[in-house]
Amino acid sequence: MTHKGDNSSRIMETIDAQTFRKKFRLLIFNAWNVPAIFGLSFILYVKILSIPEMVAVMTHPLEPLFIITWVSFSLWYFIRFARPIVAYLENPSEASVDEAIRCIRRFPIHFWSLFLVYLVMAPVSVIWSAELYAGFVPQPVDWFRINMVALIVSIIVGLPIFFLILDLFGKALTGVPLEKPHITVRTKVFLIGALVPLLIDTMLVQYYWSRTGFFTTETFVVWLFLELLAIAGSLIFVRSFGQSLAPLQTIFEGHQPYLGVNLDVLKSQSTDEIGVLTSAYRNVLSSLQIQAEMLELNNQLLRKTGNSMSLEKVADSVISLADKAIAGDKCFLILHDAKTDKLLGVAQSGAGFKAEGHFAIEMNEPSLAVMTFMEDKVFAIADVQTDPRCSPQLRQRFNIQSALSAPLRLEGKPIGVLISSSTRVRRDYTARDEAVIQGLAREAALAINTQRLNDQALHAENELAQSSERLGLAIDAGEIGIWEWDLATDKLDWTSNADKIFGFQPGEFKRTFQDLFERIYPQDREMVEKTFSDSIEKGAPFQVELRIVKPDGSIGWVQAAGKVKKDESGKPVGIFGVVSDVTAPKEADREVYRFKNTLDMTTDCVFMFDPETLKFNYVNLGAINQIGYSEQEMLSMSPVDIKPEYDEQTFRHLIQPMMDGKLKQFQFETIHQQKNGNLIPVEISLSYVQSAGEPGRFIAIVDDITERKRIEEELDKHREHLEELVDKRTTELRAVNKELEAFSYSVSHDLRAPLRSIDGFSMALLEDYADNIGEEGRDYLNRVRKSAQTMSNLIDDLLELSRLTRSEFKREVVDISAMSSGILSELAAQEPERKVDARIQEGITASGDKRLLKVMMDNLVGNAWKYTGKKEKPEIEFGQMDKNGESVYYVRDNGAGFDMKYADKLFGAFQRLHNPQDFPGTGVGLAIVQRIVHRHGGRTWAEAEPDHGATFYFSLGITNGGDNG
Amino acid sequence: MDDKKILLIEDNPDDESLTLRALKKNNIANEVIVARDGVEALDYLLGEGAHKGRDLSDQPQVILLDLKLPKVDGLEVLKRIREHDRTRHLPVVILTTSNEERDIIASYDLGANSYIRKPVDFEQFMEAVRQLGLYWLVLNIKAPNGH
Repeated sequence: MTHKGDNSSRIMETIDAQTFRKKFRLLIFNAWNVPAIFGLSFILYVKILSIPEMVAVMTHPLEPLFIITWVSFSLWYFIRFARPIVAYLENPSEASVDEAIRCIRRFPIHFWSLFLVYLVMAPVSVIWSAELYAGFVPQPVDWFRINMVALIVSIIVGLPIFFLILDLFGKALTGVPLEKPHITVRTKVFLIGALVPLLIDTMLVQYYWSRTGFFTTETFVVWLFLELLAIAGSLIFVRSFGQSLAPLQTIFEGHQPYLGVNLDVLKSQSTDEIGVLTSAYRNVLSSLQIQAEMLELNNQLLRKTGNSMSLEKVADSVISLADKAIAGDKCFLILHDAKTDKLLGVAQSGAGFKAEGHFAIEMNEPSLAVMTFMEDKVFAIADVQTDPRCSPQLRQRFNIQSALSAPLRLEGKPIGVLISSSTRVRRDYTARDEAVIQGLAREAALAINTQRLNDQALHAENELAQSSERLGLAIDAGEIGIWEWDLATDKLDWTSNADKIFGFQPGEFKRTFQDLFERIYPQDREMVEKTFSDSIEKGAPFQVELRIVKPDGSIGWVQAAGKVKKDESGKPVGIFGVVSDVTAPKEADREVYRFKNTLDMTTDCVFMFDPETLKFNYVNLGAINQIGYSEQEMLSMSPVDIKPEYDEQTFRHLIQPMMDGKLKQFQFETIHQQKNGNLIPVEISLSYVQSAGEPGRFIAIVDDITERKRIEEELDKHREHLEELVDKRTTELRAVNKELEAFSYSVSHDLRAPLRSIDGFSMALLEDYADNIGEEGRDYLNRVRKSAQTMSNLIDDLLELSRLTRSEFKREVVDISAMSSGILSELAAQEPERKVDARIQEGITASGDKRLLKVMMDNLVGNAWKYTGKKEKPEIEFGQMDKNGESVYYVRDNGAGFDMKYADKLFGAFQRLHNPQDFPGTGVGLAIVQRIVHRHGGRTWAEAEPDHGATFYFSLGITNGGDNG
Repeated sequence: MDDKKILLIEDNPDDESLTLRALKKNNIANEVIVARDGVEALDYLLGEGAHKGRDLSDQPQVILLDLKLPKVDGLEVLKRIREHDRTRHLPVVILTTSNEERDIIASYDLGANSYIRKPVDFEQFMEAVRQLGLYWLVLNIKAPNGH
């Protein structure tokens, strides 16, 4: 134990392995020697043994041997025991320190165990040596006294040595954090406070006993009483220490030494230094916790996790921290609103965050917040209810008893106020509270600032991202290529858009100026070279339009703009710029030129005029030729000047619907007056054109319709004439028709009546005067009668024929097969003696007028019947077939037939190919058939051979039946 | 059969003569009253004009009516016959030259009982008259007088 310098340096003193080993060995050595020396001396002193006896004991081998053996053994044992500590000191590491701590923890039990053995053996060795070498006869009281001496000396001397060893361990473990103490203060106090006085008393008793020989029961009782008192007192000390140390003890028992501990267990119950220390420790811990929480808060803000940390969260954290740290129950976070110059209570305990403020305080109100803000310092107000500096609101609305406020400062300027207050109890705020609220206010200001900065940064970032995206889009949309030419390396870098513009495949461009140069239209190369070299020379930006030859051989126009890049010394190092494809605009220019040229030269008349002034702003050659004024003259005129039918008002009225967008285009006819005064009729097609961003204009395309007008007039004349003609003819036709009808009617009545008289009276002559007339006369009269009857038949047939054209026509589906069978049955009934082989195809239908078809079939089938009359095996056939897609019906017989060279006469009225003697008839039947077929829109024809029968074909048109014959 | 009269309304004397001959040839001996135009026929039937005061209960058994008549034509006569109570139920047989459809339809519309076209062949005419006489004078039952 060397004293070195002052206390602080001593505290800082550390120990190396060598020193430790030396000191430890010395202490262990003395732990047995020093008690032995003291014990033996005391035995001599209290005359348990005389000096010669003691000399005998010490000069004979037993006692020295025992001591030497014991010391050697214990040295060996403990040096070995302390190896982990030495190992740690030689090579500090986590593993070795654990071993060392474990070793130290085990040390007391080992030490005191050996000590106990020593206590038993040492008196025995002394007494035995005295008996053996000095003839000492030990009485039981000698045993007791010697043992007592051994015990007392061992403890009195051994205990300090034990503490010295512990101190040495403590030094060895300097700086090593221990979870709990190896020896508690209570133990130390008990050992030192109770045992040491007790043993010293016992020694004193022994001393007086041996000196005076006075040791009575009374003495023993008094001794025992005093000893008990000493122990009791010691225990009270221990308890007192226990109270001081209890909060700390609780921490150690809970194995939660420092942060995160529930600070309530650290409430001190003692008034000594330990109590003060505990309170201080508690405050330190509390501040540390607050600091840690604020740090965490700030960390969260700084971590900048997007927008997740809102001002709301910051405010909530600050409020809850303040309530915890200052043990208040109502905390306010008040921020200054620069726009309205008011203080807004944005957050408060139990009410959360409100950006627009739970309350607003005017800067001229008497208020703790305003005061704190304006004076920019901390205010602690113990009694708010009586302090005039506080606003009545604070008192009444929130019922606040005490309040502590601090300004939120940022870069030396106040931005708000943080107030912690108590509504339940009055409080006198300590310096620590003030420090805490200041710290909180500082952190809160920082947090709010960080949050605001974050917001701004985020906003700026968004802006940047947006504008960069916009730029990208613009470059893409504009198909603009960006290029940079490094003069030193001749490297020409550009973006993929440029590849596209020049028609390069990706990667095809070799990225040298030369490679680019070859793509430039040969006649433009010199110009480009000069532009670039001029720009480099003068350092001026340039813009140039040039032609390029694309890989497919087509020529394109590009526009390039560039700027010279210079190094620090002003020397040009490269050119960078943009390039874009202007082929389309260039071609559009040419297109417009071509278009205008065409328009100028076209002979159609095109006028354009302004909707406001009505003045012509364009007239083409055709227009100039039509009107006769020069272009110059025309451009100072308006449509009204050449349209005598319109004045300005009526013309504006005419075009107004187009300007209103109600009409896109319209046509009208009017008259144009030429320069020489001639009037020409014109048709005008007027359009109103309004392109975005351009003034609207009218475009008139004018046709000279003089010729058309003339033709129209002529046509009108013709049309009128034609209508007159048709009317006249129709009237005539009607009259004729009427006449015809009347004629038919009268024929029907009047033409037959005389025939009947001729026949009737001829018959009367034959009957009444047959004898007078004679044979020849009778023959004549019969001829008269026959003629009259033939005449009657002719009249009937004629009437029938004329009726066909007049009768109503109604188309329906008619079963012609059934109709033919019916007709044949009628005929067979009239001439039952005839056997005719009739072959009628079943189910043939036709679309037509049923009555007319019946008349037609009567004639056709009747003819077949008639003309097979002289055949032995007459055959009549009816059928239908398809001929070139047309449905053709036929009636075939094997009768008399006819010579085809007369076929053209067949269907004429009153035309007969046979002798009436052979086959009677009027010759109207087939005329009727043809007329009916024609009324149906069909046709009829016949094939025949004399004596081999005839076939009559007919078709019945569907689409065009029924108007005329 | 004697009291059953026939009223023949016929303007053509040839036809009148031939009709009477045909009746006679067919042994129809009933009295035949001949009216030569429509007015005369109606005068007779309704007891007017020349026939004023005639016993109107004595009406013909059948009327043979030609359509083409002077003054008042056959269809008009038929119409008048059907208008008057006394003559409404008298059988009227149209005996005419025409077979125009419109004449046939108009006759039946006005209540003709029969329509016969006079054939040109006198033999056929006789046959028609024979059947006509048999049917209207013998088989057919007249409506009672005054109804």
